[in-house]
Amino acid sequence: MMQVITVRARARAKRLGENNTSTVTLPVPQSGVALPEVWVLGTQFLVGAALAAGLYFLAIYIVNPVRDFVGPSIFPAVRSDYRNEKIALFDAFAQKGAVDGLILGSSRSMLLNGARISALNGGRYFNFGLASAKAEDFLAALRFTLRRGQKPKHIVIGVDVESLRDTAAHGDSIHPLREIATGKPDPLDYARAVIGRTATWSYAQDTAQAVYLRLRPRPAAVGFAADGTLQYLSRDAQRAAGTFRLDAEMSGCIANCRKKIDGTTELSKIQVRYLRQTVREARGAGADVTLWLTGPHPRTAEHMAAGTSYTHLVSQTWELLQKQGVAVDLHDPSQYGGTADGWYDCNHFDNSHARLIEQILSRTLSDRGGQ
Amino acid sequence: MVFNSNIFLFAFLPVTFALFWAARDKTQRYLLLALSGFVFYGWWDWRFCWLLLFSALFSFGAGLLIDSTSDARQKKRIVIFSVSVDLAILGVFKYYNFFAGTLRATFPGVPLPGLEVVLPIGISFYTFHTISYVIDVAAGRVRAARNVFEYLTYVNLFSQLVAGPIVRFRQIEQDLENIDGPLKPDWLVRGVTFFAAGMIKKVIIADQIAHFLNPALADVGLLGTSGAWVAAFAYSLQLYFDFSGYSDMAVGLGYLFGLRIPQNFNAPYRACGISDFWRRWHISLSSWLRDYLYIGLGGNRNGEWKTYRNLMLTMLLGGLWHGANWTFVAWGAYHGALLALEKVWQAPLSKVPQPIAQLVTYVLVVIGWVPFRSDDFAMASTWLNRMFVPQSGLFAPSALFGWVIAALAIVATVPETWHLPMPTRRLLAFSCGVALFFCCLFINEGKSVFLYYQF
Repeated sequence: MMQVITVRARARAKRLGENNTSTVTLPVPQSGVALPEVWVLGTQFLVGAALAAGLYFLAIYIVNPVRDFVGPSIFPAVRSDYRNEKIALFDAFAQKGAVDGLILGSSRSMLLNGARISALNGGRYFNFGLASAKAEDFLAALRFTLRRGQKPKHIVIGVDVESLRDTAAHGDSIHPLREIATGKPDPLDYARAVIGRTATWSYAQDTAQAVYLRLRPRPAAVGFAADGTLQYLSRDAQRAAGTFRLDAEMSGCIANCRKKIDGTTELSKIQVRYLRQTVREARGAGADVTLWLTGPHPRTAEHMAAGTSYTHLVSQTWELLQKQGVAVDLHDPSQYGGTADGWYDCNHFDNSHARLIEQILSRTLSDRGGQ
Repeated sequence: MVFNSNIFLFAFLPVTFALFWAARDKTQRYLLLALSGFVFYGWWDWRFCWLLLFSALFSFGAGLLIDSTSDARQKKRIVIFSVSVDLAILGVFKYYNFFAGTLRATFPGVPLPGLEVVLPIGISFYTFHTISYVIDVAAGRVRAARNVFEYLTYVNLFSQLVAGPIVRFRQIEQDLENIDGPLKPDWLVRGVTFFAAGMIKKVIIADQIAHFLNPALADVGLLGTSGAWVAAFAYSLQLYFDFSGYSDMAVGLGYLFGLRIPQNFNAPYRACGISDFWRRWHISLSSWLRDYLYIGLGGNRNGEWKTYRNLMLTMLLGGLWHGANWTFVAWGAYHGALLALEKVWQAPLSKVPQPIAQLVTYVLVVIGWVPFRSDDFAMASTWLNRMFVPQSGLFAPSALFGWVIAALAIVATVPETWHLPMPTRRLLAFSCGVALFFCCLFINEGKSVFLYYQF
């Protein structure tokens, strides 16, 4: 295909001594004019991508939604795993008196009420449960407590299958980018780490959420009592208003629970070692240790058992706990008189269940003459 | 390698693109595309490159042999031999274990050992490429390729090697002949726009639906009736956006390398009737089945009953093409039956108002996707039971419901990529760059392959 271009025949006019210029059209191959346009379009495409990337990385650096970058931010942090909050609460709690009891575990343990257990057993209990905690987090919390000069006499550890898995479910507590940044890294390594961690859709969502929360602050969904007990503020408000729908909460999370253990056939050897170490160090510090096996909503357990090794993993966990000494199996609500309705979602029981569990755990302690 | 991966986007594609346009003559460009196809394919498992090479060279040789003879019987013999070899390769790798397993289950005494083979990715697609080429050469619809690199470019073209569209040689023959031409600005824009549109369909819509749908389908027995319906609609949309997204990317990549790849989807969920649906869904496969199987069986030339039989056989084999599982056969039978019924009731059905016809067609298609998605008949029957027998259970996650509504709105209102205006404007190129950056955010979220890779 030929394309037509217009050429002013200035040269010919000059040669002939004519003042006016005539216009002629010459056919030329398309490649003669196409290349510059191709380059322009290609450059525009690359500029678009580069500009979007530049603006994105600038935005995440300024908003700093999960506090990966050193320095202050006017935007609230999102996706908190509550470690910072728990540390501050613990220090405040310990300032008012000795910590006699410690509650360790993951999110289910976070609801055990330190004040209520104190009322049953005497002494002052602090709930150091951490969201998505693994056995290594139990050990970290215990060591932190001991480093602060506290000598709890009783330690309750809630263990579930999820806390003894290999995979790292979250990394928020370790702030990998901060660690790299403080170690004076190679800029290229640091850039690679920043891109690897932040160039994802969920990070973009976190950034947008932080901006939204800055613009429209809203009441926190959860809060903590002074003794570290977790409170589901928004869900409790929904319950009081009669707008809470357990079924909707269940369908929102039930499948994700199964995803967490899909492909896991054995407990993680490393996490098992961490758990043993936690018990050993707690006893070494003179504490009485009670381990209890926790579990999700029965329907979640049923869902997880279908096509996975969940049942086997639960048995393995229970055997492990029994070998550590005093252990109580409360992974099924029927074992402590719970119901299918006393739940906030597919994974977390409510206060009515927490009370029942606290009573059983307190009984095991008083049987052994504790506190 | 998949299109939605960093290695493809930031290494393979830019390097291949730059080398291709730096090369000046046909042979260099053929060679580059043929070799890039091997790299793209071998990234998954290089050992199967030999099978791909064998299949390509064998059909290339068959084409030359057919071209060299004027004896019709001799041509027929070569075609039968060549197609048999292609089907034998497909049979061994894809269907042997399936049929052997079925026979062993039916007749426990049958001594049929299982083969420890991995299904070579894309084998169903490139086998159909080579079969159509040999048949077309014999039928005189296309001249036999003389340049082996040109032919390898056709079979190995990385944009359509693994999951189609099933391109016939005659459809890109002219572009292959003109492969040494310059890069055209409008083709560059079309290429980038198609690729960006496909990427958005895949990584933003299909993958987000999959993110919520797959856990829900892990145990369909827990779903209530409404949850089961939402899951079925969600899968229909995931499949459409996944595969049409892939096809758009393939078309876009074709344009970037000076090759026009034919349309594979044309708003299938707006079809008025099942036959209309098959004119719009996976067009390259349905037209292949029509031209090389249905018409080969006699089509509608031998009376009503034979027409129904041919329809049913074509759809059964079309179902089986998708995978070695009886659920695919059931899906094919379902569509064969619907096509036959549509033919029987052609007159009354033609009077149904268009919106109702579109809705009913879509719902029928959605029901068909249930066995297609199911791992086995047990899952399919549980899912269908949950859909049609009212019962309580889990509702699908609200986020999935939201995605279904949004995706349905897109299907109902947004034109197919082919019908989008693509002016050669700098703003469009700029926008595509921005869009692809945001797609990368989704790509980095997690690994995801195209659904049709398994076929």
